[in-house]
Amino acid sequence: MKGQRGRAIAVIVVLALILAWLVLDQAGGVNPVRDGFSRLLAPVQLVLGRLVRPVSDLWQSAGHWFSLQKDYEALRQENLALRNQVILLQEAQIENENLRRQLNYKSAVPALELLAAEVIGHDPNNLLRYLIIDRGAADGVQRGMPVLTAEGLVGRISEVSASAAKVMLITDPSSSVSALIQRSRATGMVQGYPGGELVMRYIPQGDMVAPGDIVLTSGLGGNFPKRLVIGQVASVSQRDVEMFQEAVVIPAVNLRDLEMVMVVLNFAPTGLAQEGGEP
Amino acid sequence: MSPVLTIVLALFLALLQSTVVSHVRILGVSPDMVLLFVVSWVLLQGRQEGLLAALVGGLVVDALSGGPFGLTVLSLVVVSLAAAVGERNLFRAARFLPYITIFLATGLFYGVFLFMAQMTGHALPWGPALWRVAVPAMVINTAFMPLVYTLAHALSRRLAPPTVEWS
Repeated sequence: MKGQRGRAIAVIVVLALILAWLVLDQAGGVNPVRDGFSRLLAPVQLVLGRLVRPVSDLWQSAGHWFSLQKDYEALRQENLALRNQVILLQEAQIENENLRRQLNYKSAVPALELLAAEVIGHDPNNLLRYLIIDRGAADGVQRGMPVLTAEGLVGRISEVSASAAKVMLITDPSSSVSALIQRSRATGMVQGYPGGELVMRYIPQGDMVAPGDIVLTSGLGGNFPKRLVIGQVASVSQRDVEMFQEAVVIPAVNLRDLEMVMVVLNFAPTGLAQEGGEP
Repeated sequence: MSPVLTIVLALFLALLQSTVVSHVRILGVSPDMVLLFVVSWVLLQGRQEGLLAALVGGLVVDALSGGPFGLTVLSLVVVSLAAAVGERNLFRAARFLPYITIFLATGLFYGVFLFMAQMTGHALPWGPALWRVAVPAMVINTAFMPLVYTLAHALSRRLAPPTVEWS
């Protein structure tokens, strides 16, 4: 009985305190107390919040796990598709630039009727330097026709089938092109050398040749049109006891990584028999 | 071993050499995939299979090459026969055998090719051809032999377990 009375008094006291608190709060009287509590609890809240946040995030993440996995897979697929598109666009851009360069070259030399061709193979023999292109007799390609790029001379057609042709590069040991030095007009013969180099031979002793000189086709012999760029002199070998000088020439065209070339359709070679020992 | 597999492999490697491997240039030369395969096949499968590989691979290489037709196939046949002689006379299980064989076979291949080219009126300068092409090719082919020989060995064991040949 006594205990029940005590509990009732305690409840009444607590209610009275709450009421008093509410009244005081309305009047702004508990603010200092509230501030004191806040100051005391704020650091504890901060620490607890930091400790609990990862657990809370993990809990939320676990809830999103399956949807995240789905999203990840979808994004991965999208990423792959986009990457493929980028690669295709880059390829198209390179091809576009190649064609644009060829088109510019075509308009720069209107006298030459040029046919664009794609390189589809290289000679599998290390001793020989040939290319296979995707244009043949059906496209008007004939044996002996010069092949070039906008950078310079590549070689000439050596064999033709209906839909493909083989091109003997100027670096093949059987190739030989009548040439001249642009600066001094010294003439000679640019020949291929095993290992893929070019050597300009039969340059008369008195003629001026120096590293850096540009080498062009001379047109002599009638196998190539005049004034096509062959390359640049890298070094000169001259001995007083010999009749001629020799020069190592770096090809203007990177013959190793060719993708597109142009065949000169309106040039009929006249002296195949004299050059390269071909019939 | 089914000859069909030998033919398919020789064809595939010849095409690979013309399209992809020809872009790989070390010391100025590309590895001779068909030659590597022919030598490996002779050592692993014997003279007949090696000869078949030489014939098929050589014909395809000749067809894709701008050089005179037949020179590669002839050179490869000579190499396969020579490798078969070496394979029979040397201790077959010797670890170094494939490497010595490919080193010498490459030299023989280029020597025969240059000789045949000269005989058929397509002479190439011997000195530069040997020094700038044949010697680097001997080194590069020997360096690529572990790869090709290991693959050929694995394929050979999987498709045709080794048998004893009595001569």
